[in-house]
Amino acid sequence: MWRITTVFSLYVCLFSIIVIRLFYWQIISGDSLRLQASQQYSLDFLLPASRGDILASDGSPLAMNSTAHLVFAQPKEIESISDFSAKISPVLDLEKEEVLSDLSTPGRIWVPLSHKVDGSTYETLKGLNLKGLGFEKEPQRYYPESSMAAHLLGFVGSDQNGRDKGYFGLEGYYDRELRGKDGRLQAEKDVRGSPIVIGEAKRVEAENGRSLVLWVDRTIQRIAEEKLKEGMTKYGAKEGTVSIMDPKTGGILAMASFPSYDPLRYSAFDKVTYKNPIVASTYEPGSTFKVLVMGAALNEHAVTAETTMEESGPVRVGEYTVKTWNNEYRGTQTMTEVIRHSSNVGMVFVAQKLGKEKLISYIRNFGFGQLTGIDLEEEASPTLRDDRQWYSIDLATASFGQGIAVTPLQMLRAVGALANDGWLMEPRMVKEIKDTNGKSVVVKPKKIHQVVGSNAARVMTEMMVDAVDNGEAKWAKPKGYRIAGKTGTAQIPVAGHYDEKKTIASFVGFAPADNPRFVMLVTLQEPTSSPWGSETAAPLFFAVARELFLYMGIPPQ
Amino acid sequence: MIRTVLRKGVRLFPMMVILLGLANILLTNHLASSGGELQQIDVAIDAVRQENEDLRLKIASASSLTAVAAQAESMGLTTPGKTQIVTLVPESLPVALGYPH
Repeated sequence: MWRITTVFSLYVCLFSIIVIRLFYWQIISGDSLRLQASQQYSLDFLLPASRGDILASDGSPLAMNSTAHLVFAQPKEIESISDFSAKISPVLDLEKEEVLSDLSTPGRIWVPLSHKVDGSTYETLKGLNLKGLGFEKEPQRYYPESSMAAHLLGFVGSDQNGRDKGYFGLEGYYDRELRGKDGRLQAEKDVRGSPIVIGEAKRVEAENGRSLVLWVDRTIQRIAEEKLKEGMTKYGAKEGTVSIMDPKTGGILAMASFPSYDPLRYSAFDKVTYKNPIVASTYEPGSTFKVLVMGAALNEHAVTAETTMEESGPVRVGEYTVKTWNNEYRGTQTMTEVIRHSSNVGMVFVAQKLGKEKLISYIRNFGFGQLTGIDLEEEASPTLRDDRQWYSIDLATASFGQGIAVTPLQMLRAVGALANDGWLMEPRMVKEIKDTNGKSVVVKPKKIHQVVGSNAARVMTEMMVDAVDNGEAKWAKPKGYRIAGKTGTAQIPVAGHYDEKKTIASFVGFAPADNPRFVMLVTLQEPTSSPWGSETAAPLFFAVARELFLYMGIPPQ
Repeated sequence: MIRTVLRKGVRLFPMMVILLGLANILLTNHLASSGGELQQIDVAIDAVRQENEDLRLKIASASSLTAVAAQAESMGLTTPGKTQIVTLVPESLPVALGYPH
């Protein structure tokens, strides 16, 4: 009897041991074993999406992808870490000691050495035939036109997870559209690592990023940049911008600004150069603002082109005195002559005729004090002071463009309204967004509102044509063309007062006056050859305009 | 007649099962091991795609304004100093008018 009991007990013990062991393997270690098994028989990798291109209006790429490589090392496969470090450090431009230290860290089986290595460096490293050195493809942005249009393009850097991310300009604004969505492949694999066709497979295709087609014309962009560079050297300016827009659509044809940077090597440049000053920096527009105030007054019938005023001397506004820019007073002046001679005294008369409420209202209607809505990441807008904080001297100075801060884009758009029968347009960089399946979304031009009537716009255009033909800058004007424009010379505010010597010289205009194909604003900061817009920004404007007439096939009128 | 056919069918049935079973095993084995070929095709597709991308890059680079300007300069072309505008009279306009006297 005891023998039966003993054998039975033995069986029970053995059975219990088996159950406990099974419990351990299936329940306690189940998850880790499942993971190990899955790693042995399943493939799981990312299908990276490629970033979309940024194309100029003619379809040529301004930003596209090229193939670069991530260079990594597998320390366990390296024969001599010291030799390895000595050979690759000079090629990758790394410190030998740093590489040695990274590779010698215990427990590391995979060490990234350098990201986005270009083709020639990759070939050199491959030629070394080093064991333990590996490469993985990674995309890198390529700019066929080099650093042209850097400010409007932006650049591609990395986010906190090391993934590509766009910053500033179009790369920043349209980062989600350009980035696309990575895919994934999960499949069963055989012992050689090849996928099993009849096995389980789950594939989510990558959605490549969408491409952007811009309004920007690369030839016009190049003309603007070349002429701006020449102009800045000739006039000794510290900074400069040229912005060109199609007034009928709001499409930006070119945006040039210096100093600039190279988007491929952005980290080598000062961060202050990353922001596009045309949308992010402010300035006091000076006399260029007069065309808007006069346009408003014409629209309100407060004045006509023939209305006269007496310019007998400086005018008192409260405790302040407003003088003309050259301290010359011409007696009886029509409104056309006020614009032609850029009379500050004349503009104070116009502002008083228009009245405070209407002047402030028109300033807002022309789009100042608010964002334009352009599709660039870093747009900023200075705020306008509250209506109750406008005193008589503020109205007077605003009438000739001082004491009010604007961005170059706001100024360009506002004058563009005069070129477009009084209609204010939303400025746009992108005219079409294309996906890789050939589908495209057209971004239609957007009319905001009509600021002034078409009559007032036409009369103001003629006054601006007169200003170009008979004003201070007439010597630089291309013959045979009707160009509507206005010079501006604004003093720069420094610590609560205006600097006597430093100015921002500008010229804004559109052509041909009867059927404008472009509106352009040129600004030069602190030109040293002459402080006046008529002697610096105006000739630069006309130099660009000459090229544009040829390129666009606009004959003399 | 029908019974004969049925009897023959019953005898053949196990052989058909064995043959079909063998065919299934062979086909499955062939498909299971064709993953390697599939991978090679994928690698070839990637290589062609990469070549397309590289060529696209070369075209973009060669047709960039910077490259064209450099090429033009090396060929001795220069930017014009002064532009002259020549107006061509259309055919419909008379070149000379007869003047009655």
